[in-house]
Amino acid sequence: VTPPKSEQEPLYRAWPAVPESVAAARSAVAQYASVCGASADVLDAIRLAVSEAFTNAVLHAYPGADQVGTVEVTAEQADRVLLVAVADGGRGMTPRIDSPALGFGLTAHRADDPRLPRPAPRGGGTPVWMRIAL
Amino acid sequence: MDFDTFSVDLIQDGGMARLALTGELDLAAVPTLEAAIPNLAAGELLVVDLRDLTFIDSSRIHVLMRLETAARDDGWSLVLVRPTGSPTRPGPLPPRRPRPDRRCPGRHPRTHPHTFRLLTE
Repeated sequence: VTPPKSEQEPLYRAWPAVPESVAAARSAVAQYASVCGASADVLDAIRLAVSEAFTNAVLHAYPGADQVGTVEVTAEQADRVLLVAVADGGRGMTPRIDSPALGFGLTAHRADDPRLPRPAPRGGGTPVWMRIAL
Repeated sequence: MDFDTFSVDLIQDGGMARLALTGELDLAAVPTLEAAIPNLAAGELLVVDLRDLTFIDSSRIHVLMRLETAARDDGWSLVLVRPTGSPTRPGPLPPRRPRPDRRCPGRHPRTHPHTFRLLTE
């Protein structure tokens, strides 16, 4: 079986897990999605989803760490679908009772699609996969 | 693709303050926003104008909810002027509801536990 062709080279970027990186990350993925032909509404959804996932990584992945961690973002088009991953190398999804946020993020970016792959990134951490119809 | 830098302007006139937010409101913008929030006394009014926001994500609504709580606790009023465009789509702000209850302005008893007034323009 021939895998679906990707019309764009995959996007791979990595940023420090700091608040100032969130805008750059959502902007980069939106730029990629725009080239892939995403509509304005879909671009808005992508910006929100990436922002939520990246923000969660900034807030929760590396609590108390001595060094600033990294958040990796990948995006790849396969036919009319865009697969986006936001992955950190932090401590994984464990309860955090001192969370500085509300906990709305995972709900907002609808990350519970069972069709998505869930490989562990290098060093463990939490990957969030998004499958977006273009 | 660039992103819109967040900025906030504060205008105070007597017992009324207006915060006009511009650009993209996300995690990085919260300290700037929180630093601009004025101290208000009972009976005063704070208008937070969201019309020039081009983006807002869910966790930033935390700031607005804290404002609403402070308004209730301290006896001042909070009015949000709703954004247009993408910040109103699937995002975190209540996009259409709750609507102000005409019989009892300022209350939204049916759909939302928070009670800030949301103006459409």
